[in-house]
Amino acid sequence: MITVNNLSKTYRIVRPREGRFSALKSLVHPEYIERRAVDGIHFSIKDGEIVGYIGQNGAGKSTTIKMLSGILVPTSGEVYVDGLIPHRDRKEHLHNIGVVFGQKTSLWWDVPVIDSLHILKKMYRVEDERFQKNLALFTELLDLGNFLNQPVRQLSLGQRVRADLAAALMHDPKILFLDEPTIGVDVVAKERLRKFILEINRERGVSVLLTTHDVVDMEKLVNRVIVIHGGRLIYDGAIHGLRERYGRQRRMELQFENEPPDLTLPGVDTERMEDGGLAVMFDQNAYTVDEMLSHIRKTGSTIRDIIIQKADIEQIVRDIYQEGGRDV
Amino acid sequence: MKEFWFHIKMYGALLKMTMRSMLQYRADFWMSLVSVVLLNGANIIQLSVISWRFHSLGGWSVGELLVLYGMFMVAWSIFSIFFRKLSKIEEEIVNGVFDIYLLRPVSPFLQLVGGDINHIGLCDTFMGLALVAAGLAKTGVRWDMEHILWFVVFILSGGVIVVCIRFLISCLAFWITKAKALSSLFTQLYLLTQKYPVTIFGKVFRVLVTGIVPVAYLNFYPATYLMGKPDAPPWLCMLSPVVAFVMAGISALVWRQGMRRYDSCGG
Repeated sequence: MITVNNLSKTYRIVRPREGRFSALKSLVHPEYIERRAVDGIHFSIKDGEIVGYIGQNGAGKSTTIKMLSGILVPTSGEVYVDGLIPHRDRKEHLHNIGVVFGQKTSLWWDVPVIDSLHILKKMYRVEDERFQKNLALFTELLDLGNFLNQPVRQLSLGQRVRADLAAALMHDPKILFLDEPTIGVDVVAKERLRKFILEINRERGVSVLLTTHDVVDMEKLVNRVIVIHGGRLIYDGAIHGLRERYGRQRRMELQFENEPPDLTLPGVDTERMEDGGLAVMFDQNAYTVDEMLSHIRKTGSTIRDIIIQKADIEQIVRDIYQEGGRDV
Repeated sequence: MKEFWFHIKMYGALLKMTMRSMLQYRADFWMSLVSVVLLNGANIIQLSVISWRFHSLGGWSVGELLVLYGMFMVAWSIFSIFFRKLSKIEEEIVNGVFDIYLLRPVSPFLQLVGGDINHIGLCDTFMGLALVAAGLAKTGVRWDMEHILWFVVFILSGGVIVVCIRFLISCLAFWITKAKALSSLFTQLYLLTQKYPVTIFGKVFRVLVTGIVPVAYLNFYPATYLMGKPDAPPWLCMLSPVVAFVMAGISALVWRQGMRRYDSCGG
């Protein structure tokens, strides 16, 4: 369904200039700054998969999504989505995909939601019957009934994302790109969005590629994750594979009778907690719990309380970042 | 052909959405209407004061100057009614709206243009036509059918030219930031050519407004021809549709290049 080969995107930004005639100067003799946003990534996504595309802000997630959806032209490498090259076969390709940006709407701000859906129907040349069927289904599943006749600017964020999802699916795309669909949405609304995405995936076989910072999104929605850092792919595999690989990570939260010690051990991260305690993150392949405790005791501090946890997904992802990634 | 009708229909649908959005802000509508009338009034008073003090300007009588001014307004209004959004490409890119255009299977150009309609611009059309009529009455020149046809051709060509000029300046946003600073430079040009026959300026200026930024084709050449002035040879005036055609071609090329160069707004 999606094949990405050695894909790169380098932004050439004109260095802004100061002073008089600065615009004229930068037109006649531009100075460029180059920034490599996506750097030689490979992956492929099969029919009906739900894949989480994760990474820190600025890691290159949105740039990838924009290349996959045909907004941006890659600097080098190949993208095929359902046999088409997105930026070259733009119009045909757009009928195959639906895109939702959690942070901005693709609906008309000042008119009722239903009007936006109608004009999109015309743009995508969706037949009446199919449109009515989809509208009824999405209205039910996403509970749009209450606000179909309200202008988008009056909607809550959760409502707006639901409306955007419905809009992105009206033309029955095969693939859905979701860029942070749950960001800023409250817990109940998030749950509804997830159920809907799963349902659409199951019932219609729609493949989904979504970016998210939300650990729960990953655990509930996604069976495979692709992790990108600094524009490079650093992990691609099952989500439980991540846990296996990093499952021996431990987070030890300690309270002390006296001042917490300064602990500097190779491969160990420490963090002062808000309650005055110290969190120590380490890998059991490097230190056993017993070794770690004796290291701490050697500093002369007296431990009052201790909690030891397995690392959660968020912690694991952070660890991958900190390592700068292992090549996959 | 089918594609053509599809796009016409889409343009209509987009304008309908735009108008529906605008109706949400009625107070805005009336305020801007009043300000346009006042602004134009001030301009005309200024012109009549100048004309009254000098009687004629570079061999142009008051009536002829009114025709000059009026034709500029009518051609300009084509831009300001239908194509104003073309001068906002930079904002659309920065706001990320341009990304959204590229996600819909309809020409982004059409979506851009369809995103705005400026009914207030009609004031310019009517006031411009009124000035042309007043100028004709004052000079006693009578236009036959051929003149009227040429008037229409000149206005349409002038409309295309002004749209292209504004559009090309705006397209710079694909290449540089702060394209806006440049556009104010051009505004200075319009301000001069709207009121004064370009023959009163030096040769360099004439070449500039004829061959480089052809704003003289909005009013100077058309009025020269229609009023039978000796300021320019008729063939140069009648080039107007050719100039419009060339400008449109350049615009299409630049747009295509710009789209290829489009880098979204990072992220």
